[in-house]
Amino acid sequence: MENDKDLENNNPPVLGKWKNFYWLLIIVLITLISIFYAITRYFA
Amino acid sequence: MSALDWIVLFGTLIMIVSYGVYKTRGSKNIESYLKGDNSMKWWTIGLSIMATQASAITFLSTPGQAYESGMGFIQFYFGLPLAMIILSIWVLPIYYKLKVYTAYEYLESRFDLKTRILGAFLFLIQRGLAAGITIYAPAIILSSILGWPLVYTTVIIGSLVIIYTVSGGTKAVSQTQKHQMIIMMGGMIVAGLFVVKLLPEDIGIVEATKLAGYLGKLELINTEVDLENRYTLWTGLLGGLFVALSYFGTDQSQVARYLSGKSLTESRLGLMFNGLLKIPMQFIILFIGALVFVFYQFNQAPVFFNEAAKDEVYLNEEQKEKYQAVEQQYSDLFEEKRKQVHLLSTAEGEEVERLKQKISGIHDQEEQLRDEVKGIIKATNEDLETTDTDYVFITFVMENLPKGIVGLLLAVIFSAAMSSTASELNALASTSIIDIYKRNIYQNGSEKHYLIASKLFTLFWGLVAVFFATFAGLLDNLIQAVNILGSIFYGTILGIFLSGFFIKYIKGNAVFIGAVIAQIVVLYFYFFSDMAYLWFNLIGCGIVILSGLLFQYVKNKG
Repeated sequence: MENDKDLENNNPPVLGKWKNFYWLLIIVLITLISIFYAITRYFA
Repeated sequence: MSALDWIVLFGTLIMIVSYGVYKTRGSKNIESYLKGDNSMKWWTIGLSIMATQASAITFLSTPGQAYESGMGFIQFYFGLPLAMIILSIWVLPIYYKLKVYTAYEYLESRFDLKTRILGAFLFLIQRGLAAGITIYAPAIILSSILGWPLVYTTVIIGSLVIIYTVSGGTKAVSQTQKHQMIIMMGGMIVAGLFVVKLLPEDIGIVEATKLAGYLGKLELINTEVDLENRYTLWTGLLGGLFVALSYFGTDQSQVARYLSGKSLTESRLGLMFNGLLKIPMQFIILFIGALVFVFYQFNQAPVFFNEAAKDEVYLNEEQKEKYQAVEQQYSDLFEEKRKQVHLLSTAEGEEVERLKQKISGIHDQEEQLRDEVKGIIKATNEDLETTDTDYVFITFVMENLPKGIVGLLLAVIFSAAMSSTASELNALASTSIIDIYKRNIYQNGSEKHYLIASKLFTLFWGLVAVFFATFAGLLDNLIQAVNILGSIFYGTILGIFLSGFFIKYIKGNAVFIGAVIAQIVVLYFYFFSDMAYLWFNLIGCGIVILSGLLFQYVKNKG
């Protein structure tokens, strides 16, 4: 279990060069929705 | 099924279970048994979260849904990544700071003991019955496809899960889920490759995608504001967020997954992993369903996918003749459809629209014939199910995939059933031991005592689930009853947690009274109104918060 000092640190999780995983997730979500929207429009 | 399929199926299942038992043997205390010594890395947590959510019905039903009504169901998952972020920022640190075993422990430190017991009790009733359905739903489909008695499939799934969940606790659940998830995704990708391979020679993945799009299966996004449509961009983002917050934030079967993390950061990354991969995973499963649809444009599909229902109709001579007549008409239509779809695969410009309309006309006629068949099935036996969506993918697998791959795909479905059941049993045992037994019944036991009690509780809930799944079919509308039961309690639980996390003003007595009132009101609506039960979630949650605020205000004034 992480110690109390680490628990006070409320920074976003970091993985590799992604310093803020929350933004990565939002960017991926918006990108996926845009791609899905483009596919839907293409065949409409 | 061939001998090779049996070897692949049971070889895969036995290897996963044996490895899980071996790797996690020798838990010495409940810290190790229920929290896995907080040793899980983020990828194990992420895969475990995904495997818990992916039940057998995900793999049986989702491709069938794309086959039937296209890939719009993907929108339901759009709120999930946002929920992962909210939980990571605000909820995980609270659970970690309090070093809780279960989500309901938090309720005691935030409110009081009675609220904790209420939350735990509501979870046990709801999840205890749902665990039976998690086994029963795939068992009934597999028993129909394999021609086995229901009790065989139920007992195989149930006993394998009980073996490793009782033996290794939460660590065994996470370890096996990691491998089960790899089998599930690997198996589905192999299935997808085989669908493309089984298409006519001049139809590759590009042509198949184009055909799926032309025939209306790639309508992924619906931007309309339509309250009656369950799957739109807006219901996905808002409703999906609400559902994901309650499921991942307050349901112990998910909370236990990330509480076993090595650190707060590992748990957060586990949730991020789930948020990142969930939509692509569902996309792949739905896309395979769309490809199966294209496959059946070039190959004759059965007029009704549930063979067991057809077999029952065939026992009645009069209904059998009617059924065969419709089958013949369906088969006649198919030749014309195949020709037109082939032309569509190479068509360009205005020709595309003309062919689309022609094929759409044939599809309408096919639907009419399917409705006739459903009427015949109902006329034969009123109790027979006339929805065959869940049987589309498994029928395709059994009839078209080569030896060995059929075994692998059945292993996918069994693994999915086992992975979600294992999490449920583990969560039910944790809640029973931590929130009820250790806190209220016997506080001075040794580590060994609680460890044995935890194992016995896991075994108890496993037997309850198997017993319930075995006899579920004997009781009318039981599945629906369990879904209703879930909706009756879920809103109240969510209301209690949301008050705790986000409304500091509300204290213990106020939230408890609010929860009791909410539960009574929801039960009143259930017994004395015709309201759709899906609304109970929202009503229950809203009443807990509003009456909690009101009682707190009155108390502060008084």
